[in-house]
Amino acid sequence: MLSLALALAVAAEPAPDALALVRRYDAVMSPANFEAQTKMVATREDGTTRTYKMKTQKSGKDKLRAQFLEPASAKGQEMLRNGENLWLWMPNLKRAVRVAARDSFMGGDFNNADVLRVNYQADYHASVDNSDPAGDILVLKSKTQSASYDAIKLWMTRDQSPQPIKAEFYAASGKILRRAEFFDVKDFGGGLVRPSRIKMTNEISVGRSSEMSWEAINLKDEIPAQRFVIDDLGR
Amino acid sequence: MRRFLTDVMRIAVRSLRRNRRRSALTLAAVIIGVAVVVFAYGFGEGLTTSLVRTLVDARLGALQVHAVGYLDAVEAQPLKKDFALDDALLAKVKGTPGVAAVAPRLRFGALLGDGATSTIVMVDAVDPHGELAVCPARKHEVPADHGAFVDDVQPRGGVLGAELAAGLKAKLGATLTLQAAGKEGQLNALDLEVRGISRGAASFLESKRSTTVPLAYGQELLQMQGRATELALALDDVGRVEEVRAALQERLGPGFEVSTWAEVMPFLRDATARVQIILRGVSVVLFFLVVFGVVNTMLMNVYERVREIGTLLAIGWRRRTILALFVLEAAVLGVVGGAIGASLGLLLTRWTYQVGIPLTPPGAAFEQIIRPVPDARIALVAFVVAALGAVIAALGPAKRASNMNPVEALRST
Amino acid sequence: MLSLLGLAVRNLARHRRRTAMILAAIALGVTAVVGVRGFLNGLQSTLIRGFAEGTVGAMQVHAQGFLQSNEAAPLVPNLEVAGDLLGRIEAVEGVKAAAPRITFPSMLSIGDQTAFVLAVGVDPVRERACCPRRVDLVEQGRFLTGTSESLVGLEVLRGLGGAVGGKAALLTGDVDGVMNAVDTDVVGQVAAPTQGEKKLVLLSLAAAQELVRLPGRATEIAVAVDDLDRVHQVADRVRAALGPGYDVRTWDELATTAKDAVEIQNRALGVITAAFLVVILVGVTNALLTSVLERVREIGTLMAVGARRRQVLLLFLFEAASLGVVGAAIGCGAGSALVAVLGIKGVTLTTPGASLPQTLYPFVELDFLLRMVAMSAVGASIASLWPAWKASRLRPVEALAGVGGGG
Repeated sequence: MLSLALALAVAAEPAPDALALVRRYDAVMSPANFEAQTKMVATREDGTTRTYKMKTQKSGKDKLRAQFLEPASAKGQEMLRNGENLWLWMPNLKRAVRVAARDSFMGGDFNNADVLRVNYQADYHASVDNSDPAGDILVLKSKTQSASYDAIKLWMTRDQSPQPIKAEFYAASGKILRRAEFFDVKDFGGGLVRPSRIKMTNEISVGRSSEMSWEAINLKDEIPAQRFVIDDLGR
Repeated sequence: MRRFLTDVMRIAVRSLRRNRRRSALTLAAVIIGVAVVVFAYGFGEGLTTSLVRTLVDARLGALQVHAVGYLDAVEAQPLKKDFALDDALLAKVKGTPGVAAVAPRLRFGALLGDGATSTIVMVDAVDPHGELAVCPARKHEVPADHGAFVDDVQPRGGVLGAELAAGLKAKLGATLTLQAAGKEGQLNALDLEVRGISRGAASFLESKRSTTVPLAYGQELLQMQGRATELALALDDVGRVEEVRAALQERLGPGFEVSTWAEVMPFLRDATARVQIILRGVSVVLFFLVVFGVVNTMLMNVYERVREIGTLLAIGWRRRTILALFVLEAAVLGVVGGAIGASLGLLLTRWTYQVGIPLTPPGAAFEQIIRPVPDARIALVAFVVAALGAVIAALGPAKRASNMNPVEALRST
Repeated sequence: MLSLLGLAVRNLARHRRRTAMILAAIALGVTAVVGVRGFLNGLQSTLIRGFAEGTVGAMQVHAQGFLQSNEAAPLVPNLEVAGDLLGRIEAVEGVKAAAPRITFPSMLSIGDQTAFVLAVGVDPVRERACCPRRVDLVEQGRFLTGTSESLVGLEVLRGLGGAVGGKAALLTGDVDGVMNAVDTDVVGQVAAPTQGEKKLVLLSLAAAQELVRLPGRATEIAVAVDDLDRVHQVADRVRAALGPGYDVRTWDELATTAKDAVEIQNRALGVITAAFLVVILVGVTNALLTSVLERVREIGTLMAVGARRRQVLLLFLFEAASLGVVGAAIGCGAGSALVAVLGIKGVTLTTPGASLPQTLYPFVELDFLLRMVAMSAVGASIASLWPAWKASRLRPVEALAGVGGGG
């Protein structure tokens, strides 16, 4: 019996390792250190849209800095996330304001951007479902308190360098909270090939969606730590 | 002296019985006056109490228990200071003497939507049994034709405020979605069935956007099973709130803070105190009025019988006897009238306490039913003052009458 | 008829002592009722004025649809106030002043501490004219004058470690949802008498308009009126003057709990007044009955000289009514005098541990006094019905003999 099973296993295509897939996703969607030019178009329930253009810098797992270029009313504003602290630099104040609660942006334009916070390897258990001919489904189940979603289903292409196709984000109740679709795989240079456009939809407040597009991503070996310090904001 | 008094007493009683009409009138005046004063005082106290009870029974509870630091942090991070809702804690609280009922609650902000529009709401997740035991007024929150309060039979059923429901165009039985972030920010969403629509905000206590759901529902939504942020307590006697608070604080230790309704809502305490001062003042004025009335009646009583006095003097009665006669007559009327009046007043107060006096203005969001408080001490005071007043009142004119010249007395009309 | 009335008055004058006593009883009772009503008026007036001259205003104007919005403090739809809207409102008869405001939820940041507040941008000059109580609530520092100033409540200030004289930044999403911030000087600290006002921050309208990017606009206009009792008529006129597209609400529509509280107090006073009246009535009935019993011979004489039963009845009714009117008049006079004195001085009620001492200014209105006199006349007449009826039923012969009366 055992030998038959082994023989069958050897004969079939090698199943992708769940862990490897997660690592792949983390690496591709959120490289360790980079600078990027991004654009986000937010759509509200009433149909109106607003476009933001930002320059972002990321270092390590939890240092993120974003400088707003557009719209004009937001130009010069900067956002700094350092671990659990979130700071907003306001140019007309000439200082940074610490933003209090996590849910202060509930209902705001950046609400859906939750889906972009990755570090799935640390926060989720991974397993693979390869029954769907469209692609491998990476099934993630939260394992820490800091995981934003209870469960995530992530479809990835079945090839040498899997790319994310779409994702569904679930709440503990089983309700689907967000959906994401990944488009336009692009070569960003430095060996980084990944989707350059993500469309995120809010499944609860139907009509709310955002589309994020990356114009450029420059991988760096490292970005100086002082870039992620409050005093550096506004320079 | 005693012999003298008993003799005169006999004459006094006979005199009172003979002039039945006049005695009855005077007695009636005293009885009604005293009864009204006792009732009015009880009414005043009842009004003050009802102002407090409206809010204590409707939302606050006489005491509230939170984790230390909750009240300071609640605006920014309502979930940060929660506590475990275990049997040990509940036993400690319920076992404290004076505690009648306990209602655990979870309060948090959330997003309520029908898919198209969503709005921010304040959610009260409550245990249906405990909540109604501590805040019985909540039974009437949902009018009969607008559904029902939260109940275990419908674990996903919640109550929306009237304005909230109107804003979302939500009808009874509709299903909405409630979305909230747990303690660590993890988003969750659950279906919410509209089980009831309450009247508008009952007072400045409630926000126009409050939603009530079962406690288990809230715990599930926030992934905070077995936890709560607040315990509301009802007491056997709201008057002993400070005592019970001290006892409870000791039992729970430094990890918890126990607050009285006055500490949670100092504005209400101030408003109530002001009303109470005014009402007490009113009762005092009424008291004086009654005393004046009794005095007046006695005075007239005496003056009307001037000719009688003259006759008595003329046939040889001693002045002392006449004085004593009048004073004792007054005493009897005062004592009997005062006693009956005080008892009647207490009875009336007790009856209106049971029945309740509705003072609800038309279209008001909540009922205001006054339950006058029967106070035996006040009844006693009223009785004593009436009796004394009657006697003292009779003294002056009785003295004058007894010092009269019989001829003048006989001649006057 | 008139002669009967004259006779009634002469009778009263003759039995001076009895008349004086009954008058005293009625007068005292009426004085008490007038005094209590005066107090209650003072209390209610303070409560209402707190709303009408404070946060709410006598009435408010919003853009149509604003109050139905799903958001707690929306920025749209809003009103154009740079043009002639304010002028048009102030031109309406009965309007004293109009003050535009922008109300919005915001973060308040002092140092690196942030708190959630409800911010209200107000025009300093107009707000003073419209809602003077706001100025009274400033505990420390002063009211707003300039363009980048703010007033913060004690609790919020302390919680953030700030102080009057320091700086505070307001951070919120503008009308498009994009974050914006503005710096202000904290020029004063405000008291927050009600729960809802604890998280209130006042700033100048110009700063608020800049913050939410709504230049020349406002979310609501608070309106003050010359006479609060006529506020509903004035509101109707404002509605007519502004036309559709505007939502005009009076303070009692916006602060229903205050209105309900006032109503309940009035009803409670009704019960107390009834209690007073019962006591007075009983005393008066008593006195009148005694009076009849004492004047049996007098009544007999009257009937013997031809007075009819009806006339005797009327005579006693008139006597009682006169007592009622005069007694009440005296009571009203004394009561109003007392209320007037207290009304000028003001009565300060300090409750132990209260946040603010409250000063009441009792007052009574003329039509209340007139009503008291009327009620007293009617009440005394009713009280006299039985005695008067009894008097009219006396048989002249018995009456003359002194039989049928008390001994």
